[in-house]
Amino acid sequence: MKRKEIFAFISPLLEQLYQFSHALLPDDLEAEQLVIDGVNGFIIKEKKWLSRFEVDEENEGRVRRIFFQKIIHHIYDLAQKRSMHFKSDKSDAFYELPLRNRAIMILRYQMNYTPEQIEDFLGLARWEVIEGIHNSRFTLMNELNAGTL
Amino acid sequence: MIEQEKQILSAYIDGTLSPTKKMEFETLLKNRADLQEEILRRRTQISRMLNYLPRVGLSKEARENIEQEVKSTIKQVIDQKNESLWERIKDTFSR
Repeated sequence: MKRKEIFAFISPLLEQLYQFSHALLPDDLEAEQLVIDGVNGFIIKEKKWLSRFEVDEENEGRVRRIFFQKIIHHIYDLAQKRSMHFKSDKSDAFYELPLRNRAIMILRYQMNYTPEQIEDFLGLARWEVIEGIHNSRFTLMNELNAGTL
Repeated sequence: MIEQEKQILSAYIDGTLSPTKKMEFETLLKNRADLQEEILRRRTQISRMLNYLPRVGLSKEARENIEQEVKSTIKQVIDQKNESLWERIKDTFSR
């Protein structure tokens, strides 16, 4: 895969990657850096694969999904480490959810990925994804009903 | 609505039913107004809740910064293999 091809696969993903990153570390600069580091981590780790891989019309969609899955995984791993040192000033109910559940909710309800895909993206078990969805929905619904949202 | 139906309904809404079970459930749904109503109620609740998920846009400046960084990394990492051994040694010692 050539340099331009790699960039052409990554560029259309940036909007979603930023949205995802911002949900995990809700600060513009932190989210921007998280995207950069996640993408860079992916390129460095997958260097051999990227150099050897050939894209054609048949596998283009699959390659795009692999790019997204692997970069999301990197971003999620980095965010877990950075969140320990990150203090958010956001007090919305969404940001009160654990980081893992925020990741699940964004992927499920803003980006419309299936629980099965989310398992792969975040390296979680099926029950963890389902539990994350239910617990988050329960928490947010309670906040909504209490009128605090 | 029996307990088993409630569980299947939850899985249907969550999108975790297998394609076969999903089809079976959708067939059942056609003749069950109570289930249809419950699905509508839950979906309305969920869509109300979803309004509160953050929607953040990527600014032009942030996009440009990210793209620049990514291009630079791709160049460095992918082009590295094309450099001669001598170039790589020279590069290592010049740091």
